[in-house]
Amino acid sequence: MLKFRSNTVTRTHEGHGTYIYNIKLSETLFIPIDVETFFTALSSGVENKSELTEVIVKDLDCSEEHAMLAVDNTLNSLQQRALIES
Amino acid sequence: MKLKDLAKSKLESGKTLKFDVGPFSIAVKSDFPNVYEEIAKIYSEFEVLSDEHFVDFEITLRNSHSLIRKFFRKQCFFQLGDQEPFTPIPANQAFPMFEWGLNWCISSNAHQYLMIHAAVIEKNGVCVVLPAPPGSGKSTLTALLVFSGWRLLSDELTLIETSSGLIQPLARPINLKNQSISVIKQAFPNVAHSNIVKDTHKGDVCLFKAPDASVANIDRKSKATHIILPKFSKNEALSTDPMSQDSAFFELIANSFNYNILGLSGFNTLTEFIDGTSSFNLRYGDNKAALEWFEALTL
Repeated sequence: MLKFRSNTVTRTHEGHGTYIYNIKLSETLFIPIDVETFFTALSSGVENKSELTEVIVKDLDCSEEHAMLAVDNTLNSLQQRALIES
Repeated sequence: MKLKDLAKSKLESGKTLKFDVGPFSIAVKSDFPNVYEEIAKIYSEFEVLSDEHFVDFEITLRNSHSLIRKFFRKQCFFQLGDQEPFTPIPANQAFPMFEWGLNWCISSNAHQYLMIHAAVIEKNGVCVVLPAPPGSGKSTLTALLVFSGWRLLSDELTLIETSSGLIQPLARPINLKNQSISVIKQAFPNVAHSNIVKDTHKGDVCLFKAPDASVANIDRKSKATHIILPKFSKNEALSTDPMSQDSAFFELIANSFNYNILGLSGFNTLTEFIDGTSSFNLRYGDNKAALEWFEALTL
């Protein structure tokens, strides 16, 4: 299961990316992906990376390889800051 | 009634002077006559409050209690209510101490705002926020712009309303240091300013009165349109470099007094605030070229 840690909020700015804030950790992060549905999915929780990849492909109409790279990089950044439930 | 209309008898040592500074009200009591003289000159367009009026900040600038220090190397102590947050400084620096102290009062207490260390100016709906570290030329550039027709919202403290994301003006005096003082005095010889206080911990300092029109519009809040990080570098040709929105966002956090104190409210305010703004790094070595560049933003 991949899910944002509780008390994490996101604000997506079209054409720029998404700002993420965790209230308990006072952690602010920016991810250069402006696909709101991707972060909504992470807020609700998904079973695996491929579900997230699908969201990116559907929204951006990009290749699966590119979408997987974006997912990996994003999850890596979020995990480094403990913003994903383990 | 404005401070300029106040009778001289109300401006004597030991009297309490109450007045509005934008959204804040303050009371000042001083043992040093020059503090009243400078306030009457530099804050002349601000509204006086009645003696019974409740105030946000009760400031006292007092002499030392030590008998020797009252006559020899006189000192000024800054008090907010019963608090004495600073070590005393030489008495001739009492007026700059009032300004620095008032900055501290606001930045330590006004958490109804997200506060950024930045200047703000506005013209024809173009509202520019200038966050920059000391030595970047921010205040000099701000002075050049506001005495050339831009509206001053703030020289030092940008107050962003957490409820609306709009900038609340303060229009307090512009604090200039060292060589900047003569630059502005030569360019705008008719602008009122305080006496130059030499050899403070910031060097020579002088406060320039905000334009009357800026004070008259102190209740008119603005939405930021640009975030510009200026850097004066002698003899350098003007150049600009667009900044990504997230770079500007984190630059504002780095210059914020209370982003972390506000928590989620700070995050929500700043994400709203940054939306729709354009950001640039600006390097310049010629004031005229910088003024023209800013003017072009308004066309």
